[in-house]
This record gives sequence, C-alpha cells and structure tokens, in this order.
Amino acid sequence: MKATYLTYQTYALINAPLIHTDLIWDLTILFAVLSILYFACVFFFRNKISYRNKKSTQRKRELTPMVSEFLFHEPEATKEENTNYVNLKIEIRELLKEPVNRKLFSEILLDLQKDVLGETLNRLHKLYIDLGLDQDAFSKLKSWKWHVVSKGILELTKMEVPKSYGIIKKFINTKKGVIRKQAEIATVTLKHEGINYFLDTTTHKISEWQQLKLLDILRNFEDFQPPRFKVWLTSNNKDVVLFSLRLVKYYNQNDANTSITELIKHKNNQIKTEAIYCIKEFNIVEAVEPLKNIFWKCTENIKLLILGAVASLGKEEDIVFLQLVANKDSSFTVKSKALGAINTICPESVMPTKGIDKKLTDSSWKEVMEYNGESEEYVLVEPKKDKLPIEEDADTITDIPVASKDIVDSHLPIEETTKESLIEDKELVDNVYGIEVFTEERPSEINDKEEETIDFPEISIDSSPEEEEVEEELNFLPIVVGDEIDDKIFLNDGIENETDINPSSINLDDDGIVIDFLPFIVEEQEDNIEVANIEVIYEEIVAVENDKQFKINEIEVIDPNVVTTSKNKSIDITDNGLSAQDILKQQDDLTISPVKENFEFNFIPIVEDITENKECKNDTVELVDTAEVIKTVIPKAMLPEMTFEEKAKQLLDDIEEFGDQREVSLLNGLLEEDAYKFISDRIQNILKKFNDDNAPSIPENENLKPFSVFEDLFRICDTEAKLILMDEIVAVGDEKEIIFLNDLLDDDDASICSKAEKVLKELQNKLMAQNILSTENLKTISQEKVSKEYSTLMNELEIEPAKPTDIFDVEFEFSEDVLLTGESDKIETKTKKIHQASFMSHICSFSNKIINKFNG
Amino acid sequence: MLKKIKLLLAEDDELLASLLNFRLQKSGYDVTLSRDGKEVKESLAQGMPDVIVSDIMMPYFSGIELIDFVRNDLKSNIPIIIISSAGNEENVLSAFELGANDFISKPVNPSELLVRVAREINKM
Repeated sequence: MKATYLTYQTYALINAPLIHTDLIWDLTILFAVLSILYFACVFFFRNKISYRNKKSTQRKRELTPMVSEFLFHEPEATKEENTNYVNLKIEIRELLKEPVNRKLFSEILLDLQKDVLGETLNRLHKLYIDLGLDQDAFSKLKSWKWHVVSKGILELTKMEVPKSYGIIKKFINTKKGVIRKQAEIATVTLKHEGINYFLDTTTHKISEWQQLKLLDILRNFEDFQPPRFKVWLTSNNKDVVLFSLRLVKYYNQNDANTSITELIKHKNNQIKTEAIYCIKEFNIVEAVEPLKNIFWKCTENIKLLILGAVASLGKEEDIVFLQLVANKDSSFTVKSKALGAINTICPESVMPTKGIDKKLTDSSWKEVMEYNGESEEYVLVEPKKDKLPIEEDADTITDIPVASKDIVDSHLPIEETTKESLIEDKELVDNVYGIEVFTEERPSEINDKEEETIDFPEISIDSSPEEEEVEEELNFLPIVVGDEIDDKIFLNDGIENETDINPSSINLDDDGIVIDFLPFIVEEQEDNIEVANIEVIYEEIVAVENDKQFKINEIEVIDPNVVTTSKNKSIDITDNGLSAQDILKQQDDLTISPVKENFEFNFIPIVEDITENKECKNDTVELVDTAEVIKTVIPKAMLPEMTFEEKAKQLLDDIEEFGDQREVSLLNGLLEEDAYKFISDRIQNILKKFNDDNAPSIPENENLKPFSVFEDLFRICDTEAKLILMDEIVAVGDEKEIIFLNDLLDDDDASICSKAEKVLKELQNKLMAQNILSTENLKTISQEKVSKEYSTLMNELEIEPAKPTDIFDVEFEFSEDVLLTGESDKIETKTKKIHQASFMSHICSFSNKIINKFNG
Repeated sequence: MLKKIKLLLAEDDELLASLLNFRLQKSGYDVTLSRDGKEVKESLAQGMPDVIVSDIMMPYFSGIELIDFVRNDLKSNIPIIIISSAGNEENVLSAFELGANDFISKPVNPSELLVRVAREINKM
C-alpha cells in the first residue's frame, strides 16, 4: 500500500517563493500613482500647449487685420483711414515691445508670404523690416543650437533681407549639414551673385536635391544674367564641376567646348556622363575622337552614352569604330547600340539578319508556296526577271536581308568578320585606340549561307533582234542628270553594284546613243528590258569622281515639272529649238507626245550632247562645253513688259516693305516729280508710315541714364570684387560712373556704401581737375592761335624775333599727376599754365624764371 | 446708397482668409467668411450671395462639392471663382467641368482676385 502511495505521489521540484501580500499592494499603489502622474502630466502639458496654441491663434486673428491694414494702406486714403493707420502704428509699436508679440508677428508674416504674390508680397517684406523683426532673426543666427540658426537663416531668406547676405554666406562651409544647406540656398536666393560666391567657396558635397533646388531658385530669378559657368569647370570640388556642367547645359553656354571635352576623361562617372550630355547638346563634333579614345576604358553605361553621342555627331569615318565596337565588345547592349549608331549615321546600312527565313527572302512567292508544300497545285514558273524594272530591282536588292548581309559582310563587318579583317581591325585598334583586340573568329550565320549574288537585271543591248524593241521601250525613261558612273550603279548610299552592262549600252534611237552615264529611273515594268543576267557584287563604297564636272553656276535651273513624263509616252530630245513659250504652251499637254509625234525639247544640253554623239560606243559621255551649250540652248525667260504705272507700283511696294527712314529723301523727290495722283497718295502714305515707325523709337522726353560699364560687372560679382572694381573706377571712370556711384550710396552693404562715397569724392576731384585742364587747354589753344598770328605778322613785316637762349629753355609741359597732387599745386599749375600760354606771358614771367633758374 | 455686392469667401487658411476678407471689404464687398464646408452650407442656407470665392481643399465639404451643390442642388448660376494651389490641375479641371466660372492659383495676388471678381460680376 505504501509502495503504491509512493509510486503515485508527486513531489514538486520547485517550490513557489512566498511573497508578502502587502508588498504586492504597495507595488500596485506605486504603479497606479505613477500612471496617474504620467497621465496628469500628459493632460497638463497637452492642455497647456493647446491653450497656448489657441491663445496664439486667437492673438493672430487679432493681429492679422492689423497686418492687413498695413499691407493694403494707400497713402491717398481718407483722413479717417490715415488717422486709424497712425493709431495702429502706435499700437503695434507698443505690442512689439513684448517678445511674444514679436514672435507672433513674425509667424503671421512668414505664413502670409507663402500665400500672397505681387505688390502685396513686396509690402510684406518691407513691413517685416520696418517692424524690426529681422533683428530677431539675426539674433537667432548667433545661437549655438543648430536648429535655431537654421530657422533664422530660413526666416531671413524667405523675407528676402538683403542685409543678411554677408552674414549667412559665412555658413556655407559650416560642418552642420542642415545649416550649410540652408545657407547655400540663402546665399543663392538673396543676391544674384550669390551663385558665384557659392561655387567659389563651397568645399562640401552638393547633393542632387540641393542642385535641383538651387537651379530652381536661379530659374525663378527675374533679370538674372547667369555668369559663365565654365569658370567652375576647373574647380577642385567635383560636385561644383558637376553642377557647373549642368548649369552650362541649362543655360546653353557653349563657349566651353574644350573644357567639356577634357572632362570626359574625368574619373567621376557622373561628370563624364554630364560632359557627354553637354557634347551631344552642343554638337561638339571635335569631341568625337576623344570619346572614341576613352571608350574602351569606360563602364557600360558610359559606353552607351558615348555611342549615342557618336551616333548623333559622328560621320561615315566613325563607322569603322562602331563596327569594331559591335564586333569586340562583350556587352549585348553595347553591341546593339553600336549597330544602332551605324544605322543612325548611315541609315539602313545594317539590316536585320537574325531570325530571317532565308528561303522566304530569296524566293518568289511561288517558290514559297512550293516550300510550304503547296506546290502540287501550282506550277512553279521562273519569274520573268527581265521584266523587272531596274529601279524596282534596285529596291528589291536593298531590301533583301541576304544581300544586305553581304553588304554588311563586305562593307560593315559585324559578326561575320573574317580572320583577315579581324587582323586588320586589330591593327587599326592598336594604332588608333591603343587597346588589345580579340581576334578569335566567331560563329556566324552567314557562313552557313552560300555566297550569293543577286541577279541584277542586266541591260544587255547588243545588236540583238530585240534591240530596237528595247530602244523603243526605253524611250519613256526620264533622264536624270547625275554623276558620271562608268559601269557601276550605286544602290543606297554608296552600295555599289558592278553590272555587266554592254558597252554599247542603251540606244535611244536608231543612231544608238549612249546614255549609260545616267542613272535610270523607271516608273513602270517593261517587258523588253533584258535585266535578268546582271550579277551584283557588293563592294566597298567607292566614290567615283567625274572627269568632267558641272559648274553649278553655269547651269540654268529648269522647272522640274517640265521634265515629268508619262508612263507610256516618251520625249524625243533632239536639238530642234523649241522655245520656252512653246514649252509652256505644251506644258499642259505633258502627257507627253510620243517619239513619233516629234515632240522635242531642246533645253537639256546633255541630251543634245547625246544626240551628237550617237555613234559613240563608249561607256562614258563627254560633256563638252556644257555651260556653253546650256547658255545657247536654253531660252531666256519670257517676262511680260511692265507699264510705267506697274513699275512705279512695284517700286513703291518694295520701298514700303523693305524701306526705312533712308528712303524718305527719295520718296520726297518722287513726290515732287510724279504726276499721277495715286502714286503721290501712295508715297504720302509710305512717308507717313515711316514717320510713324520712327516716332516711338526714341522718345524725346525720356531721360536716358548714362550707361556705366561697371554696372554690368557689379551685377555678377561679389562684395570683394566690387570693392576692387571701385578702385578701378577712380582710375578709369568718368561722368557716367558718378550716377552709378550715387546709386551705390544706397547699397545695403555698408562697406560698399562707404567705399562708393570715397570713390565718388575722388572721382569728382579727378573730373574737376580734368575740366580745369581742358579749360586751360582751350585757353592755350586760343593763345597759341594769337601767337601764331603774331608770328605771321612778324614774318610779313620781315622782323626776326630775338634768338632764343638757354635762359628760355624752360620746361612747360605739365602732367595730370601734377594737377592731381593737391589743391595748392592746382592753383600753382593754373598760374603757370596761364603764364606760359602766350608769348607776352613768357616775357612777363621772364624775371621770375631767371630767378628760379639761379635758385636751382 | 448703392447695395453692396454680397460675396461668400470660403477659405480654411485663417490668415489668408482674413487678409482676403480685409482686401475685399476694403474694395466695397459685403464679405461673408466661411472656414469650412459646413459653414459654407449654413451661409448658403441663410441666403445666396452674388458671387462665391472658394478654396478647393476645405474640411468637410470641398470646393468641388460646393460647386456641385450650388449648381445641381441649389440650381443657381451665381459666379464661382475657385482658389487652388499650384499643381492641383485635375481638381481645377473638375471644377470647371462642374461649372466654376474662374480660377486663381495660390499664392494669390489680391489685386488679381479683385479684378477677377469684378469681371465675373460685370458678366452677370
């Protein structure tokens, strides 16, 4: 039994500690009290804050009408309003003695400044300063708490207190980021030249957001003349360089091309990127080569940008580089971009090759049907290639991917580069870009394809039985004068096809005229053209120069409409001397008469040349004395004769349209001469119009302020520079600067004011001295004149003056410096000048001079 | 004595409302100021003004709703000029669709507001 009991009895391994119930109660009370205290505090402070807010809101409500009264007070208000205004001023002065009210007024004005605009805003800024609230903000700047300083700067910036500029700009390089950023914005906002100071002095990072904000401030400036930001492209602070680049781009300052081009070599990718954007924006073509040079060392993103720039600025010679990139670069995106760039420079140079069904592209539609297993129902008929018009064939060729593949293969090797070409590429790259190029051969799809040649329609015009038929059929061809091509036809920008055109070429008439120098433009498919066996071989672009070149200025322009042709009718172009009038008459009938109708044009000299050289069997046509022929053959334009009235009307129209005040004398002359009333009226109208146009240009009463060159410079420089400039004003300034200096006396900056005052005095003294000098000079000149007359009289009377002795060898020259030395000197100089002015005066002062000489 | 033109100004920003109120009163308008949508409705219930100048964003009852209320519920054609902050073009478009007569953006030039109000009154 005991054993059973022991077996089933459980013993607790841990015994719960005995806690005194009183302690629990004590703790409960303690926490309850703490909670009550906490909630009481929260309640108390919350209420206190709410009460304060409520009170301040209430106070604001009371004060706002006062502010409104100040803002909208008009000087020409009624007496009652003016009395109220004065009382209000007194009241506000009393209120402002309390700091709380000052704070409230500041808050009201700060709140209102973001909601109002225009004149009200200007008055608000003025009121802020008038109430002396700016002093509170200035005192905040001296606080050791960063957030108080920041608030102070913000307040002064929002209220646009220009006085604060000098103090706030010192915070630009402060360690505390918030203050620094606030100071940067304030510096740029408060003065137009703040941006100069900021870019000159900042040594810290300028965040993207900060750049945006600064740009926004600059954008919203009125009458802002941006400085040349290229100056800061050489800054040691890369963020300054970056920001300057962006500003250069924004303000289109394209006078820093070399610096921008240099910046593409910067280590910082952001700067590099921005420089490339600038290059693209400003079309800096000379930067293409440096871009290509740095390409291989750049990251993928920069490479893409460079390719974009090369695409927009590059020329055909840059295609080699692009091919190289397309071949050698490992990145698919870069390769694609390079191909895109090639196509941008030379449109349609690279054609799509991937995923193109070769059988579909090489076959006619009937072959395609066979290919699709549907040929049982259709009989495969070889397409009549000889029926294809030449032009159509040409188009077809350019559109065929395989052909284009060949073109790419030969002209623009992309993936199908052969070993040889790769070696060449490598040499090129080594030479030009100084980099190593992989020359491994890549698998290419084109290798699978057989070398294909397109059956270009051959124009075989041997002395075959079909020849005459062909000749007739080709008569409809419009002849377009192009460059002389030996036996090559160019397809699509320099893609050259060698065609086996028989030297006998195409006979236009029985006499077998060679026109193989002309490109053919065929508008309709013709049956009799033998074009089936022309083999097209694609080679590199070869520029073919003419032996004979047209002189453009010797060719008279013919209305192209005259040469339009219809499909089935041809123009027999022989030298039968059809006049322009005839042509014009028949222009409507230019569903042109067939050859047999003997409708002939004589205005295309080349055609005449053709007819003369009809026995010529060569491929080329000699264009002998083209200009001569043109001159003789092309008839002069037939202009209707104008009557006197019409001529006069025409002349007056022209004068009215293009003339100005200078024509008035001519018009007056015409007015006197002319007998026709309508012409006189017209002339008077024109004269009136000119007078009206001229009248408002320079208002007579307008007081034009003289322009000072320093004024412009002052706008864009900081205080230190201004002080230096003011020194220069003394040296080089004149009357124009006096007004400018007077304006500067009201400047907010005390140092500038005092300096301006000093400079003004100095300048006035200088100008006074100059005036005295010039007056004296005038006197001297007049006295010299008298003395000359005197000497002339002496000569006439043959009286010789006494010979000068060294006693008279007195230095009479005076410099301006002497005049500027002092007031006493001036008087002395003046006396001297007067005495030296005439011969008599010399004699008068003779004794004095002798004494002076003896005294050294 | 000429009857003053009644103008209902609905603007939740107290300072701006006070400023505009002062300016409009000074120009001779009889201005009723409403701080939110509820007050606007109460004012309208008491009597229709000659012109309403209303902010778009207001508590309880937006400017858009106000226009809808005036045009569709009250069937009134009184001129309504809306005030909206910049970048709130969608709301402005909605307001015009619902029948607002004119629009002025914040920050407000009080002189411009006066001109617009006067123009709308002249159209009546």
